[in-house]
Amino acid sequence: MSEILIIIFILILFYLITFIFNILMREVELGYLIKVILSIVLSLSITIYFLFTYNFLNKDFYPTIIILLLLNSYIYLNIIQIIVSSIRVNILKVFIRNKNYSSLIRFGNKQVFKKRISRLLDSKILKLSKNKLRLDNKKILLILLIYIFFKKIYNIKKIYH
Amino acid sequence: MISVFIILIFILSHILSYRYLKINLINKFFIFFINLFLIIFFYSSELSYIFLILLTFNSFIFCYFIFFTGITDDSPTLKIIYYLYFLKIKNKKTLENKFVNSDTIGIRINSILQNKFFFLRKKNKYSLTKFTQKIILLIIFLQKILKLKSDV
Repeated sequence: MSEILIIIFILILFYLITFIFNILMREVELGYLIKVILSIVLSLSITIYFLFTYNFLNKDFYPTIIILLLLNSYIYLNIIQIIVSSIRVNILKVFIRNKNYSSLIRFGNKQVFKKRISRLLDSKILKLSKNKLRLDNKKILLILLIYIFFKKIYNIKKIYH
Repeated sequence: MISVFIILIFILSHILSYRYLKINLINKFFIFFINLFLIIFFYSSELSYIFLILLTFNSFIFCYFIFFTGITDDSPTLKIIYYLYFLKIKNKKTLENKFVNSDTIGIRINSILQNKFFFLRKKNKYSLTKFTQKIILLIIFLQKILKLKSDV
């Protein structure tokens, strides 16, 4: 019975995230990534609050359900990320519309990197003054350092070159 | 707790096998084999418990696959931050020109064109597989429902 309840909890979490995310998309003017993270944090807090307050499950299952809830939140975050910024998915989307190889020309290096720089400027991670870029929000460095750390652990010699 | 141990063992074996043998454990064969092993190992337990363990493990594999792709293929955004912060290239035009010959996009285009899961190749013509078409249509549908804009 507990296992089925866990699966129900995960489904509730998915519905809650979508519900809160939809409200935030309509009512609040923030970057989409902040909205996703906010909706995930809120939904996780609500689900975990109900879990601990009403003691639905055997306590042995708590680590498993918390891990599952976190993993599924990560999956949800990535589904949104895939829609917005996955280059591979966007290549496939262009291909499904035009059905020829030449349509992929728009994915030139310069165009993609230009768009990424303007997105970083819009989200105020970078700041532009006198044609010089400056890192305004240093939190992104933490993500970069995590990836560099894992590249070193996996012995991948090519580090962003 | 068992799920936590299974995940930890997998992370450790993945790091060791990739670091020293260059074998990526996140592929169809290994995932099938590990799932089979888990079913056999927990054979005497309840069916719903086995299902929960498989669900946890496969959710983790899905997440780790996404994370690991980010480690092996350089993300354009992180590349910009790396050049800006560590290589101190601050001029916008110089930075944009640095990426003209970058292989970040080329690697991605080649990897999906050569993947039989996405594309079928007949006489130098590429066509999408039916499964990929359905997935992409689902993504377009989700994009409309969630009112998201693509930035690529």
